[in-house]
Amino acid sequence: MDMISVDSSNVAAVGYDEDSSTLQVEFNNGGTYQYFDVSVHLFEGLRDADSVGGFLAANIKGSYRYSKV
Amino acid sequence: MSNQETYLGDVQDVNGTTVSISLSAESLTGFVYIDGQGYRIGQIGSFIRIPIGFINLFGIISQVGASAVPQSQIENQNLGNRWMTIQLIGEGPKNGLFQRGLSQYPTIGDEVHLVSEKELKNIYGQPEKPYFVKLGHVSNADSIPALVDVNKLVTRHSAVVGTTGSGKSTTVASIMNALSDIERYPSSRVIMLDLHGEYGQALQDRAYIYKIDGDSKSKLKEKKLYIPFWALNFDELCEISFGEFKDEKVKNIVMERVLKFKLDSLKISPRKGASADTLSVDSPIPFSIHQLWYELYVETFGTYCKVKGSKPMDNLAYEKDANGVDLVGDASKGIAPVFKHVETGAGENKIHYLPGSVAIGKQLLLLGTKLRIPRYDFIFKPDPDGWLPEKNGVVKEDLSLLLKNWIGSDRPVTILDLSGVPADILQTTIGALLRLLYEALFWARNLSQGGRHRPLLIVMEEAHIYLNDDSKGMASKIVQRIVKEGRKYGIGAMIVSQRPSEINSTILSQCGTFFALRLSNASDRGHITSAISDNLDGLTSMLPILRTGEAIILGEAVKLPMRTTIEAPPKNRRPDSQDPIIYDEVRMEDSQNPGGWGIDMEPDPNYEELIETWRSQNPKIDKVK
Repeated sequence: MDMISVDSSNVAAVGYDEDSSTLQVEFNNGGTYQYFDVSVHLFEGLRDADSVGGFLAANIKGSYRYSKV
Repeated sequence: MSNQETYLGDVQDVNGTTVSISLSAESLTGFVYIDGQGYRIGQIGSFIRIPIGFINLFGIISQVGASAVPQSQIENQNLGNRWMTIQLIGEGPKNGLFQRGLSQYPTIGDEVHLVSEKELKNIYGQPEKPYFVKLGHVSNADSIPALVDVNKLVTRHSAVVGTTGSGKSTTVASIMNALSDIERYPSSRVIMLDLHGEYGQALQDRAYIYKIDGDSKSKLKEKKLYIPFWALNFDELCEISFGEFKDEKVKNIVMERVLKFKLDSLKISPRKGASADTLSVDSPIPFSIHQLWYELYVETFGTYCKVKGSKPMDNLAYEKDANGVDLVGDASKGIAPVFKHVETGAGENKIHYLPGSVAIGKQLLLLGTKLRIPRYDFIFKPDPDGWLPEKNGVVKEDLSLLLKNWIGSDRPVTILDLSGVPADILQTTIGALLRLLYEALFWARNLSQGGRHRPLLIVMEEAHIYLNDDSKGMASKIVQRIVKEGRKYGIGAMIVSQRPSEINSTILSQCGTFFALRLSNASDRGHITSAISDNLDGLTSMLPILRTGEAIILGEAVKLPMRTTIEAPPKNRRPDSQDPIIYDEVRMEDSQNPGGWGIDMEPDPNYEELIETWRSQNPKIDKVK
């Protein structure tokens, strides 16, 4: 999965796989997680958000299931 | 002399290496300045110096106050007098190097002095010597590096002990970081048994990681771990494959058969060093365990139709499937043949059991299961393109490649991540793995890649799991051998555990160097105190109050025991052993954790995937790409 670097206090990079609707988030501490069944709009919103950490907390954390990879 | 600022008091009582001193009235302030630096007087664990002629004796303060008054003096002492008890540890000429051991004792009236930082530096040695590695600095003296002698550390074995959360893994990572410094030690050689997969992240650019379900595409580029069954000796093989044999006779039959298989294999592909005369059942010669199992299975469960003039084996009575094909099974997949039931009625087709079968039905069924279950594949199907023998015992790769991968790679550290090994064979697997390494380095002791010329350090994480006392386990046996004899053949052990009292005491007592972190449990502490050779109860009594990341290093690799603040490796080189977060300390927007009790749960929690991981015995679900 291609990862796009973002400028954030906690997130290092994000990536998205359209075939499986999987969002991948890499935190600054190296922890990488895949969120499942996330719509592409939400990924674009996250990628372009002013505050990636804030967008992640408001829309994705607690709403989608994930797995550490 | 006594107007020197370092003066503390006088020797009053000498009892072996225990010395009682009374503090002088002048030092009652409890705080002195030397060269502009403040020193607190009478800190337990700090050093004192007793000058005797041209040499200085050094000791550690182990007790301060009323109870330090010698027995005989109790009656005469007023309350409030200041006493200290000292443990003598060594001596050194003035302005010379410190040495352990004493050539003479102090006597009554000798002066006792505080040891300043400048003198401490002299005691602890010089950092320029390349065989010393720096792990941090001496607590209370930031300018003094904590140096550990690599020679003694590796060959005399060591133990890292400490309660969970005391900084054990960080200490190990710090030691590994220092030892795997390629500029200093271009061919250091370390193998780590990592039971929880903690160290991959910490040492990713200095280590190759071998894991059972290793994924070369993952971030850590894990390789697959294989332990070919044919490299095991007969006892290990039995324990892993057949289970226990109740009957010695049956065991011998299996042994004969294994030997025959190995002999046949050797005839087809001769191997240097092995010959038919010297071959034993323990020799690491490839053979097909699938074929062995299949043959034994047929002999044990097989039935046949009696046909005059031919052997029973030629007339096996297989059941047929729906298409009328004999159900002969498949040895390579562990699928057993199905035989017809015995019929001794008056009908025409009498079916009998094969004559002379042995009673190993239970063991064969067990092995059959293991040949089919994927989680045993790392032993029984070790890489179809590598160490998996064909029917006749021919393999594509020999053990030399396996060992080269493990201890001869271009990176100094190899991490064997054992987090996927089934619990029932963990002990045996570790035992087998260590024996493999030991035997290889032992026999190769004259070669440049052997143990004597390129020593190996084996780090054993969570050692209490497989080195405990009550087990007759293989791991415990081989580690005992390593700690007793490994020194001569260049194999060093580093035992890491949070529960030293559960570790076999022979193993612990052979460890020359201890990194003792915080230990709050009294029985664990007692075990450490009794295992260390120094007469330093005062120091070990400090174990419960050490700060996180602080260790008392004592034993052969250090000149004298030191309370050390271990320098944690850089952030990206820290082990991944953090506790799960219950509630993150930072706001959710800044949190680098996706879970915990503070975040809402997803609306429709998926427990199918939870069961999927359990069934597949793999924490990674199918959906993760």
